[in-house]
Amino acid sequence: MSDPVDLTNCDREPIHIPGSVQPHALILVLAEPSLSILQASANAPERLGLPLEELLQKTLIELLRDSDSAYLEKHVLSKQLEASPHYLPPLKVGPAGQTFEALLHRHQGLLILELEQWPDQTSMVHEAVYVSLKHTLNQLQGTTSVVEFCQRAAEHVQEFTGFDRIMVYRFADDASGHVIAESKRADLESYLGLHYPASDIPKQARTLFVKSQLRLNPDVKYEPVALVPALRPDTGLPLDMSYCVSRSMSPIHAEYLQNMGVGASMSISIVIGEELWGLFACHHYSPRYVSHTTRMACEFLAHMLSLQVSNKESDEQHEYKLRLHQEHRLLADAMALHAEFHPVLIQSKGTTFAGIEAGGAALLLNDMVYLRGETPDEDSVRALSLQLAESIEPSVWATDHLSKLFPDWAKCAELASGVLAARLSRQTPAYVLWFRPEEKQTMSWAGDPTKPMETGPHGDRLTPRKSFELWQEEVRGRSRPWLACEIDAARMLRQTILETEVRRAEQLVRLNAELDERNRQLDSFAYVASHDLKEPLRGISNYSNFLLEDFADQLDDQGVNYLRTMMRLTERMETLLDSLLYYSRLSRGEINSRRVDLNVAIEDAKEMLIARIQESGAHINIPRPLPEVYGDADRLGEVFSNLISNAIKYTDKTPAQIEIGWQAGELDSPTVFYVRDNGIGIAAEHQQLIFQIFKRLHGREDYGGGVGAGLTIVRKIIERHGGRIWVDSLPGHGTTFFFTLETDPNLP
Amino acid sequence: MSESVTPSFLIVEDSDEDYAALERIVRRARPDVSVKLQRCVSAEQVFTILNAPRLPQKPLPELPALIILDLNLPGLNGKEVLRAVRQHRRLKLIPVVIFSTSSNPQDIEWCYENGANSYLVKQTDYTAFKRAVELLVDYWVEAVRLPRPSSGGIVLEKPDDSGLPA
Repeated sequence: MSDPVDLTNCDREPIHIPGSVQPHALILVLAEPSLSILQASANAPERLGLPLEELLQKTLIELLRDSDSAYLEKHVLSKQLEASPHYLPPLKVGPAGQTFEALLHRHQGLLILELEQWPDQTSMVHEAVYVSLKHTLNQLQGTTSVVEFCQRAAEHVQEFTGFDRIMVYRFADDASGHVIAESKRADLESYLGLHYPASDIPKQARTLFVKSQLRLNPDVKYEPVALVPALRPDTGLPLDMSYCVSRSMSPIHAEYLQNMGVGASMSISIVIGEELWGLFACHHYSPRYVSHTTRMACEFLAHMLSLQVSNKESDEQHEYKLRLHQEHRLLADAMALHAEFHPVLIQSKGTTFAGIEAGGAALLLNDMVYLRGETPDEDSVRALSLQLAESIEPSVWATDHLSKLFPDWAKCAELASGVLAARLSRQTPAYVLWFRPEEKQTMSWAGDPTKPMETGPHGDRLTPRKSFELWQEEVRGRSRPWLACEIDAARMLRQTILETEVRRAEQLVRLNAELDERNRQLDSFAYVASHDLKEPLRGISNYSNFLLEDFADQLDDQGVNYLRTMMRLTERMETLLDSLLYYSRLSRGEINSRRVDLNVAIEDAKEMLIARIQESGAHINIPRPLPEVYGDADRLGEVFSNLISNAIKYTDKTPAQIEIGWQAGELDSPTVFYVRDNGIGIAAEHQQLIFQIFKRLHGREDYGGGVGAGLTIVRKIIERHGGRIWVDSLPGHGTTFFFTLETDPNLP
Repeated sequence: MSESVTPSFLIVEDSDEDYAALERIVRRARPDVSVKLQRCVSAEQVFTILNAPRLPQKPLPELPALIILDLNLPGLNGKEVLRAVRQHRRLKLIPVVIFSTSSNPQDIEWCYENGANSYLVKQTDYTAFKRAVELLVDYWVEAVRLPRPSSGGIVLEKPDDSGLPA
């Protein structure tokens, strides 16, 4: 290590070539097939009882007892040794004849022998380990979830090794870690559920975790023992110690552990395929050695776990996936039966939509917001969807760290750190949203954060307390990540919703066409019916007259009266039919739109009504000239003449006061015109009836008679102009009719 | 109009009551003039009369001097009759007066565009109805000179293919 190491370059720290070992072990690097010793750790001479120069000239065979060499040659060296260390029976090595736990592996054309020694090697009796292992495996068979499985395994590893704390540490896709199971000494604070940033375990360390399944640091406060010579004599390069169990650990990691108060550590990788799935992280608060037998049991357990976990996890995922499919099926079936999807979605069960696990969910549609579960408030959801609509391109999108992309949303982090969004429209913000809460991700490795270590041996920035701060800044506002099957489920739901909507739109087009056709038929029916009805009516009228003409002198007064009544009734009926005919013609005919000066239209209307206006003495007041509009001048004149004549008719005041005016609309809303009178007014319950054809509120002869078609015709004219009409009235105080006309972009 | 000629009207009207009223009013309007009235109750009947082939030894059917046409007929409507008459080589000279219940401006416009000579609206009000018919008689019998009636010598042709429906 030539460069100083800090957090900016620790990803590049060459931890596989430390050039040193931990002092509880010694290393002999051997050439094949001679087994001559090329390199040895500096502690070898003392442990083996041979000076270094001498040692480097010997072969391994010369250091072993005959029986051990024979065993080694027969059972180990003749075989294809895997790179992962091979446990050997305890060996007596060298003139000193001390017994070592031995590990052997072949890597890059060399044999590497690791010999370990520890004052107390009886952390567990061998037989007990095997019995316990068997029991453990039986127990693991019975567990149902991955977490439970890991919990049991952690307890057993603690039992085997006697470590103070065993954590099962699960890596997420982003390489961050999460403690999913823990077995610990009762008096220790729990780390269960804590998260650790990806940077806590640098990339090359992860690679090494995949390569060598078990690493042991029996005493983290050790002095590394260098290799002699430092470089491989055959290549002149540093020795690749990727597979060495007793390889000296990274000084950063050593410091990290020491700052936590950890005295000894062991890690056992859980590798599925080529992927590092997780780790058993074992901590002891004083030095602790683990014998080979126990380690083998732990490795075996981890291996079993790898096999089982992958099954159990795919089972768990499988079950979840099945559940998601099931939920989707239910929604899709229900949507198929309904014209609209949103009632189906809103009425579906649960605190989320479509079975996707989340804290809460929302549907945003047509400016309505439907919330369920734990979500930000309505306004926030609305604002968020606007932001998504503006800046997110994919139609289905997910984040587990919303505030990283949109810092403003840190305020909603507690409820919505994770967002899964399915967009329903490009034109308006319409979304199905799922929210996941912030997950507590406080790094407490170092224990009490109020007791900072200001400066560590490798510089200020590497102290755990500082690391802790960095970590917190980095990962606030983070949620559990979204799974691929969840994003798929959102995509499927979106697809189904859009298909439902397309179906609905098609249906709507069809219904509209049907409606148009029916309206057309109805209008034509009204036209034909009233037209045909006139013929018999005319007959009745004519024959009544023939009777009068030919037989008047033979009838008495009553007979003549009967005939006159018949004729009056036919007249009345004709008026009704004429109104109906006119109404139906209004519906069918063209509206000849052009610029219209409403002041002229009103003058025309007044002209038509001149006799009645003069007779009644009504005052018509127009406070300010009306604007130009776009429409059919004759029809609009008719609107005014109808409204004015109504105002004259329905009054008990003399003279009637009529005001015609207008209010400019705000923004996009159209100009509102009004005709106000001081007449008898219309009771609230009658205000809708007045627009119905032939609906009269008063006796036939009261208020000047009429058939009750005027306002129906007025409304039809206004509707044909794209506007609407409404009434505001207080009985006894007068009535105001308001109406709008379609705004025309060519007119101010 | 020559004194010797009896005016003849072809009235196309499917309503017996309307026809009765028309007849009564026409007769009473000019008791001194005997107006010859012929009646058809459908467009098809009109075409049969107008398209009658020339038969040896038989007088040709007399053509009317004026056609009074109701628009609302069973089957083909009055508009078809108007169009056919106006497209026929000989018949197109005969004035056609529309006498209809419809006061729809679109109907009125259509009829004038297609060669109607007058358009009267049948009123339910008897007095107005009567007045209209009296005016009609006065005008077409008294005031105007009609083309020579096509009896005696004018042979009706078979209708053009594009003309009357077969």
